[in-house]
Amino acid sequence: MKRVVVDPVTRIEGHLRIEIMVDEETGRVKDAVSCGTMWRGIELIVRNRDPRDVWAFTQRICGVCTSIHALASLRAVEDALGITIPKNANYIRNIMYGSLQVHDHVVHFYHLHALDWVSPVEALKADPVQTAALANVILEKYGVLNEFMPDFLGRRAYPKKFPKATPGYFREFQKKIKKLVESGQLGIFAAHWWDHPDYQMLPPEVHLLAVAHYLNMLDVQRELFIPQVIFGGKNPHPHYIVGGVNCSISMDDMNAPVNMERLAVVEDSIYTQVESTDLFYIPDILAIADIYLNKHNWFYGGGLSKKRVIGYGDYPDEPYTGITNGDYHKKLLWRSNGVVEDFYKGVDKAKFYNLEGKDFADPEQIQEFVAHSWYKYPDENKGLHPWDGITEPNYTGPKEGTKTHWKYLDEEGKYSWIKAPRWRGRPCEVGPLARYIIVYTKVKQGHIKPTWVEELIVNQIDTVSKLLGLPPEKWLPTTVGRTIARALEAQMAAHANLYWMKKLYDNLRAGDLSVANMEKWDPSTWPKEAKGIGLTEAPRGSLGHWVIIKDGKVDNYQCVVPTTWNGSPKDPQGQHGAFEECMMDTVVKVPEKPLEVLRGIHSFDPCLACSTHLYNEKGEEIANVRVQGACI
Amino acid sequence: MFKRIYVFSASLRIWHWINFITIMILFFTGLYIGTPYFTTSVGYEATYTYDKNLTMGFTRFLHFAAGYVLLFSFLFRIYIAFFRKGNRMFIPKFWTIEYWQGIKETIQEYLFIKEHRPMIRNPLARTAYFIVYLMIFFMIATGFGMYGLSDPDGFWASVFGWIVWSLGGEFEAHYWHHIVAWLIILFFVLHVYFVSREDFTHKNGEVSSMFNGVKFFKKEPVDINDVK
Amino acid sequence: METFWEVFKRHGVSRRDFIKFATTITGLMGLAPSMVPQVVKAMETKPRVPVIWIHGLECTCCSESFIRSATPLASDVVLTMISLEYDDTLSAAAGEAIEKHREKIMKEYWGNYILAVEGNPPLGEDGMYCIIGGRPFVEILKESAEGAKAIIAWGSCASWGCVQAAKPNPTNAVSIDKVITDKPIIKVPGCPPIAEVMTGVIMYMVLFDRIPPLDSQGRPKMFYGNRIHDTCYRRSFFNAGQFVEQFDDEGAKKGWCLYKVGCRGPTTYNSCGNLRWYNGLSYPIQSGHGCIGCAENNFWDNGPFYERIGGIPVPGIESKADKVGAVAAAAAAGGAILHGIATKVRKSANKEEE
Repeated sequence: MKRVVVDPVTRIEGHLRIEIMVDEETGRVKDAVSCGTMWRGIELIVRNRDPRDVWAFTQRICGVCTSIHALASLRAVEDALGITIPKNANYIRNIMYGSLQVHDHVVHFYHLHALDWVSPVEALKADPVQTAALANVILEKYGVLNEFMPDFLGRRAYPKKFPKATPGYFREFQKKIKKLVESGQLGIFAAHWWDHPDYQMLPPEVHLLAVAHYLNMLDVQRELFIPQVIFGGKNPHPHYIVGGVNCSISMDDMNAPVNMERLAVVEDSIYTQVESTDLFYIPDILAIADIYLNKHNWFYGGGLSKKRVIGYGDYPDEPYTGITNGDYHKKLLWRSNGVVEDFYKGVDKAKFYNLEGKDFADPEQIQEFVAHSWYKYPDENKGLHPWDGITEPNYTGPKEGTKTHWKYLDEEGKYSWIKAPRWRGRPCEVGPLARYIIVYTKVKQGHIKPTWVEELIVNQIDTVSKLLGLPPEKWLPTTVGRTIARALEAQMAAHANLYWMKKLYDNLRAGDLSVANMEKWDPSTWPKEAKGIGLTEAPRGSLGHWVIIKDGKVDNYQCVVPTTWNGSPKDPQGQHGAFEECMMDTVVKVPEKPLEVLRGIHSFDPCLACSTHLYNEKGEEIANVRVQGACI
Repeated sequence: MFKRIYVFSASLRIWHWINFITIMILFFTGLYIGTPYFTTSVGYEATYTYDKNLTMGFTRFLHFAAGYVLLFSFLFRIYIAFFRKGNRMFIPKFWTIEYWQGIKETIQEYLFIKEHRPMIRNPLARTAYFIVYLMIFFMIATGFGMYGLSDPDGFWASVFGWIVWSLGGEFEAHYWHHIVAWLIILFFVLHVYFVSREDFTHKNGEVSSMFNGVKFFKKEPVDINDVK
Repeated sequence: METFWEVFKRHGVSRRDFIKFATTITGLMGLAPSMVPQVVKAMETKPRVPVIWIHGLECTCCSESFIRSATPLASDVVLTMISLEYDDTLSAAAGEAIEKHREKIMKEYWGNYILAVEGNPPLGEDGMYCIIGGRPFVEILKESAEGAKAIIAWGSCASWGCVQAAKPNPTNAVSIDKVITDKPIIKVPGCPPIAEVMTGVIMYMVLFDRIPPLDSQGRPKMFYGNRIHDTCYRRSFFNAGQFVEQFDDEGAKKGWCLYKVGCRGPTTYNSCGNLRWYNGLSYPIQSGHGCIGCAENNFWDNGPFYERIGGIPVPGIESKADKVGAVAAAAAAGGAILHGIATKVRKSANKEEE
């Protein structure tokens, strides 16, 4: 048995450490520990502040999934204060959210994940003529998904961003990569395990194609976020206001934040999102996935997604009166709320549990445990709902090494600064894969009559199953499936943005220009005490903010974020979180270069600043805490 | 019966009234700048109203112009202190026994315990004036600091820019500029009261002295050496 | 090391395009056209500089902003202008391999590499609130700074402390200049800084082989010389006294000045007003939200964001300065009147006694 440490894990947001125990005979990962190594305490910092400011603070939880923590915070505060936002604000927030989904997923695949699959070194062996031919084949074969993708506006004369597929183009790329490698200054490509046997699994042409698109997309990604720059003024970290959005609309004034010209800029960017996902992202990922699954039988890394996934739901079609009161879930276009168990047995045999509105306020449903986290509860076998959580730090140190120089963490005892969120005491995976499994199950089992978004999702999954020649329960709950689901979700979000744009135009034509409900802007209009919940489907998975407001100030603030669900430590029953389950469902070829494990972890798109800001909601005596870093 | 003592020189009296008018202008324009309480929501396009009406632009112009007057009158005030003993009465002589004796007596008078001995200017007042001069200097420094930072390489930024940063940044500078403005107004209220009260209780022409320069005393004031 | 011109040649760029590129970036850096020959010369003779980019307590918004740069584009910067040898976000390698590589680069280019720091070190608990390779980040920071030619402090975290240093600063996070005191530090504040400001600073350093002219606060003058208020396209509305009184009112639709809803433009130094975001596309004020002052020290604690002047912390409540001032002035006047009445009463009493 060999213990391997990877620290730092790069190409993620934040700081992560993983430790795995590998059986050298079989290459199986027998046990795994994942540990986030940063903590900032943002929940403590927002206490006693103006609830109207908190979105800006929580937004700084993460700069990669920028805007999502602002959205969750706005929803929580609006839920607490009983604010319904205007229609335009709802559509604009949805466009800003959808743009994040597209951007985050595209950047994740090409710039944080692609180098787990492809290598610039392998790209040098490719034949540019064959690469061009391959590019065409891929576009033709996997482009079938685009055929049923709706275009609600129909205002693109032809695709402006289209993958170049000529031998000359790829020859130029290859020449440049060659010279870069020869110069010895590899920069971002330096020092990686390029000699790992997994880089032989794809033909060199796929490597060249993907590396070319890596660079191509590095320059295109900025354009995907233009809607946030128009509506929110900047990116990363655009602006919002409690009660709606700040970007007032006027068709009479060029000084107005939003007018015809501004909307045209947004529309153009949305089409860029559509083309980037339809023509680059989807064909590229499916080409790689097809080879990994069908040629190499690489079905590893499903882990927890086979057993249990959870989702909250998003895309309110129209404004809602509240989340706790259940109206939010009635208005959703994308009802990924619920829990699905045992999807690997097939969609018919999977079990579905509904989750909506009041369930999120129910102290028995979502709870956090601390048995393997550096905290103390009166009874460590029981969990606590975010609104009632207690936090009493109880640091116990690593197994080997000193306080400031770790060797190995103590997987038997407490080894994490992150509490373990559980649904009815059970661990769940969150993320695009979870959402796709839930919607697919709900529709196929007839729990809901699908909206157009849900129908689209089912269509995507069925089409990919046909392309891969595999049933969904086989390919979805895997590392590859997690990566495909993310791409499908980006594609859906890009097309949904066209839908929101159309709804926005229709509403403006009907004469409604309002973007903010200012009735409850003044703190004197607020109740003395109010509780709220803000839910959203963040790029990395389901996100919830729980807020308590007292006397016009934040009294208590709690975020239960996607990477906390996925990266959580064991609970009192010894059940592992999704990262650990994924690693233990993987076989490595070279124990000291666990590329397969890294690929599995990256497939979750970990966001460590998100998960490890979590700490104390009561704020006791931080100065006395013996902390050795924040572990998931 | 009353002894007539020439206390305030003509230049000092002129300065005093200029200072009063300037501070009033600065205070009210400053309040407006801090929280503009009316808008020209009807009427002019912004582009055409620049310094034509009582707009933010014009208010700021008044504020800055008054700021310059305050600066130069302040320099003038310091300058005249070199030439006449009576112009130096803002310095609290806390190193002397008389100072502390005077403080005690003045407090006793204000607490209705007993009247203080005749004084041209009691040490409590001297201390208050000294603090006011410091506050005026602070307002000049922060004011010109913020004013000057529109050109960070310019003259005013090089003279007073440091104070903005030493306060922690421009937001903090705005904040303290605002707070001290109110402190000066607090002083103003108390100043008017205590001057009138002095006039009323001691009948020494305290109020009129700032017009004709003369105060009246039954007995020789204890701090007569400060003017002679 | 290769020069820029050599790199460009290697990439098959023609001399003509090279000159064109040099002209563009001369303009971008705010230099006069007469400087073009100098820039060309610099690009021909200066070698590529290795950059080590480390991350402390942060949210990665600076890296995200950096790749949003349009002129120059991120791919051009990363592959042809600098040699980004270590970066938690973009580097392919991980674990021991990337740490070893950092050490190798430091040794090879001792005294010649640029250290870019995103985020800041927490000093609480011996620095163990931020751990890299099982060691405190502050140790990595000090170690990496030692052989650096210059240090760039990306964003408000590295420059000032930013959100994790806001009250009560639970981790005792500090700006990097509190830890590194013997090296030139270029502060590039903002949450995040504007993309083109970030790439502009790098370009300047690479081309001129020196740090850009800094102001008294250590920020590059060319990007932080002006208040947003002084360069704001809504300034004329401010001068005219035309203000947004409440979000989404008539004034908001007309794009009037956001001063009264808390805009920090008058107290914030950044290029949002002139350069703007996304190559001039927009900036927060243009989108109808006041500036929150994200490039300024302590901006998190200068809230609430929707009030112009900070409150005075009166126990139990936060009061606006004007309210407190008016109350204090009124109290003083009232006190004076009461005291005056008492004086009068006393005096008449004394008279009667006499």
